Amino acid sequence: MTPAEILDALIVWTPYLAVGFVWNIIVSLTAMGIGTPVGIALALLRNGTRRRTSKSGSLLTTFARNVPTFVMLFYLAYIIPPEFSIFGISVGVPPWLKASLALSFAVAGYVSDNALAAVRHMRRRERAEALLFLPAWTGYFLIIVMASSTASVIGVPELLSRTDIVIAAIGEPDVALWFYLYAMCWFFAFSLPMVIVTRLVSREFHRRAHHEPQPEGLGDIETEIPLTGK
Amino acid sequence: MRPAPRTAWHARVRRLLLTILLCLAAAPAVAPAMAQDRTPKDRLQEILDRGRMIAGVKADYAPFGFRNSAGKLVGYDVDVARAFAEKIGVDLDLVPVTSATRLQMLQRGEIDVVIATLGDTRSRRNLVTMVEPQYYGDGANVLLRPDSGVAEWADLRGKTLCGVQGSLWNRLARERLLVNIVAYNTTREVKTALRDRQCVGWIFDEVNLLHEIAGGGWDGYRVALPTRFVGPWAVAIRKDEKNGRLDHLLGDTLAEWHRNGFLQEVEKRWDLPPSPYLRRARDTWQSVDASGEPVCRRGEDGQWPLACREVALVTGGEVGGVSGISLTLLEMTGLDISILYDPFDRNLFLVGILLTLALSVTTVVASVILGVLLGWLIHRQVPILSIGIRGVIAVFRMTPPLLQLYLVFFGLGGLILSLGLSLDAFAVCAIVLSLYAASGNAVAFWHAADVAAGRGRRLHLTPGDVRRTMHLCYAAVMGNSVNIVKATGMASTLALPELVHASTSIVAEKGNADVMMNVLLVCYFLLVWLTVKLFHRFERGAAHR
Repeated sequence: MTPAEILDALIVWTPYLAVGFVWNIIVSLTAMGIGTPVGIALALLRNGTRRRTSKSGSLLTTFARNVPTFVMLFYLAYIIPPEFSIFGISVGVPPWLKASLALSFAVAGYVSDNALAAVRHMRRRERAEALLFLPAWTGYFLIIVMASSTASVIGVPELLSRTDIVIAAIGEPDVALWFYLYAMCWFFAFSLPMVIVTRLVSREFHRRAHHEPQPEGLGDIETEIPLTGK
Repeated sequence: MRPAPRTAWHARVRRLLLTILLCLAAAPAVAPAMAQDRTPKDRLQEILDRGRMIAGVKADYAPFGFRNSAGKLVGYDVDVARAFAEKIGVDLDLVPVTSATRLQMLQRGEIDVVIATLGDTRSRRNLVTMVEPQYYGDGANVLLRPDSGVAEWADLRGKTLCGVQGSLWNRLARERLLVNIVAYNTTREVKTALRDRQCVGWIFDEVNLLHEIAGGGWDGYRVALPTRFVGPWAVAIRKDEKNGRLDHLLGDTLAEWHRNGFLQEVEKRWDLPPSPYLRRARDTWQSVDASGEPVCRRGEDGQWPLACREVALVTGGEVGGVSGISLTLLEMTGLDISILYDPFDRNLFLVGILLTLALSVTTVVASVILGVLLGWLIHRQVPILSIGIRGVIAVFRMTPPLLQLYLVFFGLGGLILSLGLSLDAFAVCAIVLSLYAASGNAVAFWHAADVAAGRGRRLHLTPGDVRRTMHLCYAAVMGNSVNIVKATGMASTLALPELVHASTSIVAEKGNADVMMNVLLVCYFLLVWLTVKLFHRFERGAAHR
């Protein structure tokens, strides 16, 4: 295909791919929505005074941290039946929800660690330090958006799986490269402004907390962006 | 508490134990006598005395057993029955049977053998003896649309396939391949739906699909996947004939036919497409060991070696060791730990573990070295170069790694393929994942070096500065390394047979998702735990120096 034809194809398919990206965001937000309260609950458990509860909190956090979400994705896809009934009501679990559940494990592990620090700061009435939890949380949301593309392997119609469908439909070998690059642009364009804003907010919070941003510190987006557990 | 009942209780237990011991001691002496009682006469002798072998065959299943225009019973199964009769040296009587009657007629002794498209299954083995090796096998395949974009079974995950209502494959595909199935009442409806793009392909009996393609009118459509869910068909004899003379004679004859290609000749005679089952069986039965003897020869117990049998059908009592225990577990609880009894699955799984380990070690080592190097270059603020590196790192960290793998393997790979070269999946995964983790490590090292050197200064390669930098970036580098180990599973999307790929392949064939998914989870949990352990040991070692 000529460059002009490829450009045409990219434009024609853009609305279809955009819907796919909306799916990425839905899956990611749902994962954060499930994982955050669970993670905070884990942090409160760990911060508890009784040894048994704090121990079980740490154990559960270790599990959530150590299990790759990519493996969890297959685990849930195979183990949860597509439909089952509770009290006579049949409940369907669509693939996208399974993907969100798989990702929420990683979220719970991460939130548990960061919320624990925040809870301890709150106890010492260090409100500014506790607020550092927010930019860290936003940073992790971006990681989950990146990881949400793995949902394509269990058939969630998100950006990557739609890109594959388009490439197969066009059927020319040389379009694959351009469509994958285009899909990358979507993720990059979404992340870049968020990273910049989060970093500014994080710096401001660090300044208010009266200490320098640490290189491997909790609030610094640059060191938090590394891989999630895929 | 009175002492008397206590003594009585003791005596009673002792008596009970003694009885059990006596029973156990007597059991081996009693068992053979009972077994002999159940086989009053040898069936082979009966056939020889009678001068004819009575075989039950199908009359309505072309081209295996059906009536030709002259009303005679013919077909693949009939030819096999006739060849058996010739081998024994007797005449052949054919009796038409149906799926519902064939086993009962055999049990009542009305027929000597059943050769009637009989699938060999575990539950049927409770009723009759299945002669090993099996004589034919059929499985499922998919008639794929030209635009399906499917290159292997795993690509079907999450896609929609058309199927015929009531077909065994629909349930298997749903449960083991995570495929959506729309089932239609007739094959005619399926064909219309397939052409209307209601599904990417049609899952059905492979023999039937190949017949359909050969009939024409399916330009661009193909049946290109390896056969799945292959079920062997067996010759059945009465249950009490197991390991008897008839069982061994038929089994030895079938082994000979697999070796000399007789069954494939019969297949060709009936215009059947080449069955992958027969091809595989021929390879198995023709293989010889170092001394030139066939690998598949009967042992002292009269059994074929495990490697030559359909392991999923073998019962626990027939083999010893771990295989026997895991097979018994399967019979009793339904827990199918196939990696313990099936040599094929075990091998697949071990290769998976090794590949995952190799990929993990390669990516961790490469990403740490590369990360330190790039981080150092950024820290040194080399003009242009450090800006360039920071840009590349930003791209790597703000796009999904799975997409990066696809871009290189399928995107660049497609271009390279047109030059006549191909990319190695392992190399692509190792390079892309290393670069991804190296981006994170570079940033961590860069910040650590800035802090260790102090504001506005450059890092010196003194032991003090290096140790301080390492200490500062240690946690982040470990985090990145753990994450890249967890991400190695993504290599399965490039069909690299690592742990995730191996596990899902086993699930697809055996349907033991409950077992395999838990095994997979535990493996990864241990792998991550090991990685963290090694990092801690390394840190402690460095601190002591």
